[in-house]
Amino acid sequence: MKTVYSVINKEGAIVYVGCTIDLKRREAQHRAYNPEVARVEILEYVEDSVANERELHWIYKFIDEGQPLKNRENKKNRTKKWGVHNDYASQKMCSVQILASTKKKIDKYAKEHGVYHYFVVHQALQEYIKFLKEIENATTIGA
Amino acid sequence: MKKAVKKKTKTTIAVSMEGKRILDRAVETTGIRAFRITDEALSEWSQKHLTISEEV
Repeated sequence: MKTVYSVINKEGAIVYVGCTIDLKRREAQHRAYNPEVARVEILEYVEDSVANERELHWIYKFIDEGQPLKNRENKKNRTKKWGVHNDYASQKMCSVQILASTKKKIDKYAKEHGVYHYFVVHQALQEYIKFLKEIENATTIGA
Repeated sequence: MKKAVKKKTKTTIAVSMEGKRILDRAVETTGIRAFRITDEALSEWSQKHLTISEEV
């Protein structure tokens, strides 16, 4: 379980969004780094597997609201077409073809869960490779 | 008689290089085309997760 949190300065503006397993420690680090920090607010508690995606959801939400976030993501261009996080975008991406009907499902899921297409595709493929490994193991045992 | 095949529309999505490697391996293992594997994997995954979200 992780905590997604925002850092608020003395003017009441949100200057940072992060996620952590140890909020007290992170708050102390923020205060030591930036004397303008007034408080830290918990946005939500999330499972580890979706923590990065939820963090990004809040980052983009606050950026869209015009909050002066200092997250490094704010300093770079976002890849609008895919809504890809810069950490992901910095990975080399390539294109694959899928059926348009599947793309619709991905769009729906991404919208409902506040996650990004890349994340959905990545998760699905990760599960698929697990499935392939199981087949390989079964074949090896049966051989 | 020739069987009528409904033509399905394809589209392009972005995946990481890691994702592409998974696909390439899947193609090697099963011998079917990459787009079909991708579609099957994503369809199965999204159906599972969409069903859960709709039940809630």
